[in-house]
Amino acid sequence: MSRRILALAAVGLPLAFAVGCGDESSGPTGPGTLVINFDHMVDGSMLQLNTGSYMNAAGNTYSVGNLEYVTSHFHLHPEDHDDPEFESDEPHYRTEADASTRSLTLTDVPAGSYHELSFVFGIPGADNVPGAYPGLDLDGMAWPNVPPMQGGYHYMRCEGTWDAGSGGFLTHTGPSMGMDFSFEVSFDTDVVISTGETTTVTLYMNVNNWYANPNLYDFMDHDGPIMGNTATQLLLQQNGGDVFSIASVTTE
Amino acid sequence: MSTPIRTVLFGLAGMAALAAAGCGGGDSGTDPGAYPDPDPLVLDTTGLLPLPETPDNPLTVQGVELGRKLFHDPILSGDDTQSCASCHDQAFAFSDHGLQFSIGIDGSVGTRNAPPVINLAWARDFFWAGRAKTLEDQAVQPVPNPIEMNLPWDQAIPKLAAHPDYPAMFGRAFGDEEVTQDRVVKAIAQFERTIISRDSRWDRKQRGELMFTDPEKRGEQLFFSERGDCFHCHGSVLFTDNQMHNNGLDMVSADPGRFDVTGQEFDRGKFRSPTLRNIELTAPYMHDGRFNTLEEVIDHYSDGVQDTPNLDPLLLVPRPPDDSPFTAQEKADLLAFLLTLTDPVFVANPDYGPPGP
Repeated sequence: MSRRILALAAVGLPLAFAVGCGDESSGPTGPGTLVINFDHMVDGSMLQLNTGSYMNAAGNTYSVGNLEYVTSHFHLHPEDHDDPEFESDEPHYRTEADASTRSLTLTDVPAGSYHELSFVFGIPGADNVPGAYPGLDLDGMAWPNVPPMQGGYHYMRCEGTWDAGSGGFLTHTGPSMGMDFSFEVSFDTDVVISTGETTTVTLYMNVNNWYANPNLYDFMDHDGPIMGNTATQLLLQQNGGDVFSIASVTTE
Repeated sequence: MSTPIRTVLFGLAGMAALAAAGCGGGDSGTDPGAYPDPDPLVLDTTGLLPLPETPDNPLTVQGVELGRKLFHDPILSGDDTQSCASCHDQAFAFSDHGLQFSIGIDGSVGTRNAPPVINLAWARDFFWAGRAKTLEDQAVQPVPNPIEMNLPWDQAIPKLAAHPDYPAMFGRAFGDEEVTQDRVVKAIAQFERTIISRDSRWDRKQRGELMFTDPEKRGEQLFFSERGDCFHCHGSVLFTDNQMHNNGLDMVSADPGRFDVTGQEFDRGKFRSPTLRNIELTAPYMHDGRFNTLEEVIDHYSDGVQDTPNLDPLLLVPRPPDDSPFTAQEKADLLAFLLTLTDPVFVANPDYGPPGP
């Protein structure tokens, strides 16, 4: 009897520990949620559609009647390069006219510490084809699909008036002449995703930066349509480098 | 098997039979609560966009059948003379017979041109200034409007409930025979969502079934170019962006347009971009039907746009290459392209006409 008890104990006790006790240092596991907010500023002031009056670096006084754009290919890059990145490639449509488009919510983000957030402004070449995103067609973002244009979707439509309303501007960026003018936006920032919690990153787009750096953009020089002007598209792509900034990163 | 067990088994079988007879299956015309679930309806939208979901009012065969009958039935007017179809005639792509303004049952004249019913399943605002956000909301308004069908809803519902056919149709569409305003507009909206145009000459060209003539090709090129720039307001396969724009009709807008809905001064004179599909059939044009022909519309955009307050920036920028008006050739080509958007299949589709007896 006693040997049987010892034998059982020899088998049972280790089993009991294995079943009942995991790694004591691990907490809950599972994904969290990342919310990215897109807010719009003009040199420190929140953008007011139609009613706001602003001045760009070229001295143009202008107001914005429409601001809408597409971002895509969101990545979280981990601190440990051996850990997998998080990716979500679906485009996010944002229009200032509709507050419901302010936030992109990404669920099932693996918990962990990430040190870089990146996304693409626009939709990169191979993905930017006609009909790929019907929602964007409904949103009025389709890019003409007749030669020399080759279809796809606008990256941005920023429209308004300047010079006391006597002139208009159409800052429309996209795959001009079938070329890819999308670009990556990247932030070296710590983003911690915790299981069952939501981490919110709020971004600012400074509208004036589209017209400032490194290329001074004067509406006088670009007072007509620019969709077919690859030189202007390149200029705006270059200016896009510092349009976005991180306003805050919070977790709750 | 022992007798008590057989008795139990037969008893259970009998109970099961009674349960099966009482639940679902079969049309019990005498029991208003015994209608089976309606059959889902899936539409072919090939060449267009996926149909937006309407979870509050999913498309069903029976719902559409009811909506079609209601759409064509003058029972929804104060004197039983006017239906939705009276002012939205299929032969005119569901616009009003070339009239500038529609006439109500009492001879009252409307204030805006009757919009066509085309591909509204994808629209996001309804009426010229977007005062309704859904098709259901839109359908509520003309029935009691004194200058239109002039039948208050609290009178319309009893008429339908007393009709020999409608209660059972409501039963088949909604599960029981109760007639309500909500169900009426849902059924009409379901029917309207089936009214789809996707077989125009342009659509067939897109499918590779035919080739455009040279004028049509040039017109399409101009339409989708920054010189014509029609596509920004009338783009996508829907040929509308479903947005509100001030297109420079009047220096002082007699009709406040979107301002009436938002109260925002910058919305004064803005109206919804209509679809250009079947535009050949939906004259006259603009919110007030001021242009009788497409030539007049093209002339307006060529060199007739007024520098109005709130003029859309799309119309403020110079037209490349030299801000010149359209040439006579360009105007003719543009017209040729617009005519390719007429859909003879849509206009003749028997599924959209009055239901049979």
